[in-house]
This record gives sequence, structure tokens and C-alpha cells, in this order.
Amino acid sequence: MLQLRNPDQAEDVVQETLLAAIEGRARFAGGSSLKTWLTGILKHKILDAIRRKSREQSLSTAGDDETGTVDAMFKQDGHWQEAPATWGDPEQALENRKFWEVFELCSRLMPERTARIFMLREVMEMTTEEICQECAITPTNLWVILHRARLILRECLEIKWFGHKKNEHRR
Amino acid sequence: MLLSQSQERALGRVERLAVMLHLLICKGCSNFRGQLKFLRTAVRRHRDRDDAG
Repeated sequence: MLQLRNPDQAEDVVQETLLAAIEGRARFAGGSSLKTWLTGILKHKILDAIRRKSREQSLSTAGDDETGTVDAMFKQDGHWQEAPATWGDPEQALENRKFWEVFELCSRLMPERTARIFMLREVMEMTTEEICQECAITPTNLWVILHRARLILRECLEIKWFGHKKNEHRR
Repeated sequence: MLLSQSQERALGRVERLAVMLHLLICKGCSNFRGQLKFLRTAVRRHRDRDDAG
């Protein structure tokens, strides 16, 4: 769901995966675990869906609407408007259920194209070369997009989670 | 930007030095570097949570 950001589409992909699995069950030799095999098909289906979406989107809007958000984080001379704060021991948050709610909320803030590319890199762990080929962009392009994605996610977490925690400690 | 890029490629010697020097004077940037690592950990943990569910 997080990867496609659209429940209907996520359902379609799962359905396609199951259909492909049923059709291809003869090829499942049992050498790998069933879960690994299904996950493999699912990954392909997600990629297909992303490709379809990219094509549709590049026809409609090519807009990068995160430029404004990110520019607002920096002064004209390039320094931080508000420098990143100390997060203390952020790993603790990983054990907190509430943190994941905030995390999901924050992941949805990125514009679609940015989110998609961030997902290819961080969730699917594709390399720079693979993503550039997939999305037809240059490495420099890709690095800027990833950097912006991280800035957006980071700021949201700081405001919605780590800033909030800090205040709690102070009280 | 270079800090973010260091998650994608190995920085050159000059770039590494520039980053190190800058980090010495920019506390926010050191925080940012730690947070980038954390983001990567968090995204992967989130993915694996999804897998398990």
C-alpha cells in the first residue's frame, strides 16, 4: 500500500500476483520458500504498476510540486532555515506503535513521483543505474529527487514526532 | 546534498574532506547525517513489518 499509495491499485496488484502464481505454479519447484516465490512475483507486479503509472502521469502532469516545500527549508545563502535538531536515540521510536502511524503519515507527504523514486531506492533497494534506466532520468536528477524526499520525510518526522517528544521530556 | 549522495555513491577524496570540515562547524548537518541513516533503517524496518503482517 505504501508503495503504490492507492488501495485499489494495491488490491489489483495482489490479485494479479495471485493469478500469476496460479498460472505459474508448475514453475514453483519448491526450491525456495513459498513466501520468497510469491514476494518475487509481487515485486514484479508492483514494478509493472509503477511503470504504467509513470506513463500515465508523464502524459498528464510533469510537475515537481515539492520544490517549494524544500526551498522553504533553506535561506537564500543555502543555510538551513532551521537546522536539524538532535533526535536523541531515534532507534527507540522503532519500537513504538504510534511512531509508525506518524511515519506513514509523513511518507504520504511527498509528491507522487518523488515518493515513487524514493520507494524504488529505499524499499526495493534498486541501484542508481537501475532507477535511472527505469525512470529515464540522469543520476544527478535522481540524487536531487532522493535528497528532497529525505528532506521532506525528515522535517515531517522532526515536527510530528521528535519535536513532540522533546516537549514531553521538558514538561 | 553531498551527505544524501553519500548514500548512493562513494564520495571522492576531496568531497569527503569538504564534508568532514563542514560537519565540524555545522551541528545541524551532523544531526542531519545521523537522521539520514535513521531514515534508511526506518524505511527498511517498515517494509519488513509489512512483509511479516
